[in-house]
Amino acid sequence: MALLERYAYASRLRAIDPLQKLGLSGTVLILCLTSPHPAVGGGAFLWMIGLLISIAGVPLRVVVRLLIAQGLFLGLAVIGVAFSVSTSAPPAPFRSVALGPFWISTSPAALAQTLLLLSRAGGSVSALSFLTLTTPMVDLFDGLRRLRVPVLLLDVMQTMYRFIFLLLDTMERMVIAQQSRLGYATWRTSMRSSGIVASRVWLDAYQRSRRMQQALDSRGYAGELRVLPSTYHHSRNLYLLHGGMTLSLLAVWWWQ
Amino acid sequence: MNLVLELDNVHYTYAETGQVVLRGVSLQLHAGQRVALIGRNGSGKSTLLLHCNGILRPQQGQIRVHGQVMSYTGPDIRLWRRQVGVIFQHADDQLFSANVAQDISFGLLNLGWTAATARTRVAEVAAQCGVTHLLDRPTHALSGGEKARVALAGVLAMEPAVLIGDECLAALDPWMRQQLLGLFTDLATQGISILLATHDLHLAQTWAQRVVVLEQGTVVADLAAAQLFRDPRWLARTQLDQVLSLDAP
Ligand SMILES: Nc1ncnc2c1ncn2[C@@H]1O[C@H](COP(=O)(O)OP(=O)(O)OP(=O)(O)O)[C@@H](O)[C@H]1O
Ligand SMILES: [Mg+2]
Repeated sequence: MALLERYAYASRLRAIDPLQKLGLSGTVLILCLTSPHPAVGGGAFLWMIGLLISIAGVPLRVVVRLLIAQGLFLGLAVIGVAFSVSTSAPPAPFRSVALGPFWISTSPAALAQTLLLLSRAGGSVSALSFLTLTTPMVDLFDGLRRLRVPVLLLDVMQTMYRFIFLLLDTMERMVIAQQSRLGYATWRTSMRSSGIVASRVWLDAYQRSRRMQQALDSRGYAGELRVLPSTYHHSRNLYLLHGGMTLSLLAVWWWQ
Repeated sequence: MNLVLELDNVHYTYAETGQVVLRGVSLQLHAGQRVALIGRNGSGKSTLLLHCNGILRPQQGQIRVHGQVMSYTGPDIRLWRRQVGVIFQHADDQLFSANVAQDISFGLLNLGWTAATARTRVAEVAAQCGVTHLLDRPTHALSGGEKARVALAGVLAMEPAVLIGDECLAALDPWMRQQLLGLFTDLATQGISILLATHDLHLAQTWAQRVVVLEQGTVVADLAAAQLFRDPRWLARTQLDQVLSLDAP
């Protein structure tokens, strides 16, 4: 099973209505993206991490690793905003250091911008992590269905989700089969073997989709993948926390 | 006895390869019968079964359900597929949904059942097929045998008059296989006809009342299991003597 999904299934918030969780991360997302104050994004980040560890029961280790991975991307992305490179020293508000023939410079405005960007992205990413670590895809599809997202779109999403695992599975089996016949013994055979897998996987997927269509038809498929919605409950505690969080973030915004 | 499903002189050629796979197959299935379909790899078993609920359309010949020639469009085909349930050879082809309970419910909702009745029925077949503890699982996180049982439950849920399985027990452990064969026998006593394609001669001998032997797209034997497996002439004609002689007493 996909790594993150495993935690979503094990999460203590699994049985809670996906729409409630969607609402919570939606609130955070909107606050982070609209507030001009870095403190709001930072506060949201802390709230989300806190909820993930204390309420959802996701292991600290997992949260930290996920954050490091996301942080790396984020860090690389904001370097370009914080610093600029030029061939001559820029004027007053900028502070620069010479590096060979180049000047690397930054200014208070650029740093403020970077901070805001970091807090916004950090807050939003933590909100999405909250959703992915507590809500399996199935539940999310369910929730979106109730939000009246077009059925066609949902069916495509759901089928793609299923096929990702089928393809991975097929690929894994093919690679193991090749390995056991020395398909990856040398660089040359490795290149050849992986080429074969790449093309075979698609042919296989095509054949499989045809057989899946036949199986769906057998069970009376009429253009829509209708399935039973799961039953969830709403958590009063989480609503309270949701309210508390929103108020505290608004307060931070207000006092800035 | 009550005739449920009739195949009459069915011919089929795969367009992709031009290979003639079925050459005039005729077969009749009565209510409550337990039939095993055996034959070598590539003899055409899977192809034949796909004709039974109108997935493949014969180039020549006819298929009748309760004496009616079925058309391949509109309400006719829906009624047909409701009455003839097919469990596919590869469970992975059949499971499309992200989780088990949802997959089992699919056919029921297509039949227009309400969510509440569908939920009850899902729980019922899940218990019969031994997958109750898996209802909440994603379909990709199941073992091969578990997938086979979920696929079976999805078809059984629709209460078909004819249940057709393409080696649907092959991936099961012997205990589960025994349990499901028992279930099939129960269903047959309730009047459901069951046709299983299988390579398991023991199953054909002990569970089936009737055995159909397919060879290169033609039926070479269609008779009571007891007669086929005892009569040396039939054994010779179907070449079953070559494989049975080993464990003869
Ligand atoms: N989609 C297809 N396109 C072209 N030829 C096919 C296709 N499916 C099957 N065949 C061919 O038709 C013949 C009969 O295949 P079928 O799958 O019906 O055999 P089977 O009796 O079910 O065999 P097995 O015991 O291996 O499952 C085989 O020779 C096969 O190569
Ligand atoms: Mg077959």
